[in-house]
Amino acid sequence: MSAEAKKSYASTLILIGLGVLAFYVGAQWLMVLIPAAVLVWYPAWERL
Amino acid sequence: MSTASLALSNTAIQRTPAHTLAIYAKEAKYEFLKNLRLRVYTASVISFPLMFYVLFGLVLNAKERIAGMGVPTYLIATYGTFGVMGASLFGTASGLASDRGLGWLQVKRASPMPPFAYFAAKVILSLIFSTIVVSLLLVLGIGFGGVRMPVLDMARLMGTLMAGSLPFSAMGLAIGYFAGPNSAPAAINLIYLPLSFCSGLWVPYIFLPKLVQKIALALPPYHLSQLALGVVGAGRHEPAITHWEVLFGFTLICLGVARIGFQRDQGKLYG
Repeated sequence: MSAEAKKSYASTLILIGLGVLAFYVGAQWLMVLIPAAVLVWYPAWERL
Repeated sequence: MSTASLALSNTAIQRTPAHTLAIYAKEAKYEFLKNLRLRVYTASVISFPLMFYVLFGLVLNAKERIAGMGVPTYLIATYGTFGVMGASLFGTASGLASDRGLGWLQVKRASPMPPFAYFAAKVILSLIFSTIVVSLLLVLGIGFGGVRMPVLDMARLMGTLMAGSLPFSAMGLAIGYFAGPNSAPAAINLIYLPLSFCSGLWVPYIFLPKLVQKIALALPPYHLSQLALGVVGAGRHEPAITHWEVLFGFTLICLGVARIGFQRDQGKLYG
């Protein structure tokens, strides 16, 4: 697996992790989770 | 023997924001026209929620009340959710699965179009069809069901359901990347119909069996329907942020799964 693919899979797993986290943490954490998700998601789509 | 050589450059395409926007708009326009001409898509996505609403909201239970609310008003929120979900799932999953099967994604990949425009077009298509479904439900409710709602509430209902179409578009992308072109519609129905029932979109939540009520709490359509019901003044009056939180988490998980599917396809095609 190339380094690029590894990076991509890692960002995907982080994204899923943030999604799972959103179910369990309180609503106030959305303020942290939304920017975090954008930060993880944006570089991934930027490569497209 | 003469030979020809071809120099390939790896220069990034430079576009102005206006040009990029024009590409996105054009892709969305043709995606919309393509689906508009697909009678099976328009008929199923638009007519099913309307048909159920007319039958259960206007013909059979027009004078009944649920949770202190007239049935025609209550069902606009639940069938609105049902319609939005259908438009989003079928618009993204079915189209994506068939495009993958036909190799259309490779053609797109070879074109200078930004690849994200393809996905954005699918989401915009879902938003447009969702708007059509909710608008028609409102027209039917106001015209024939005696629904009276302030314009601001109608706009809020529309806005809530539009925003709520995003998680289901993400879910559609995830399904579209893992289902085959022929099995996609069946796979969508297999998920869409039980989800709708268990979330209280067909039968109001309070009339669902106790076990199903417990299951509903974990289902995204339940949370969107509660947000919509909150706008019309029904629902269970739980904090709206809790529902948004679940929908947000669900969106991220679906986007992650879709991305795994995308990477899997990329790996198969380009190694």
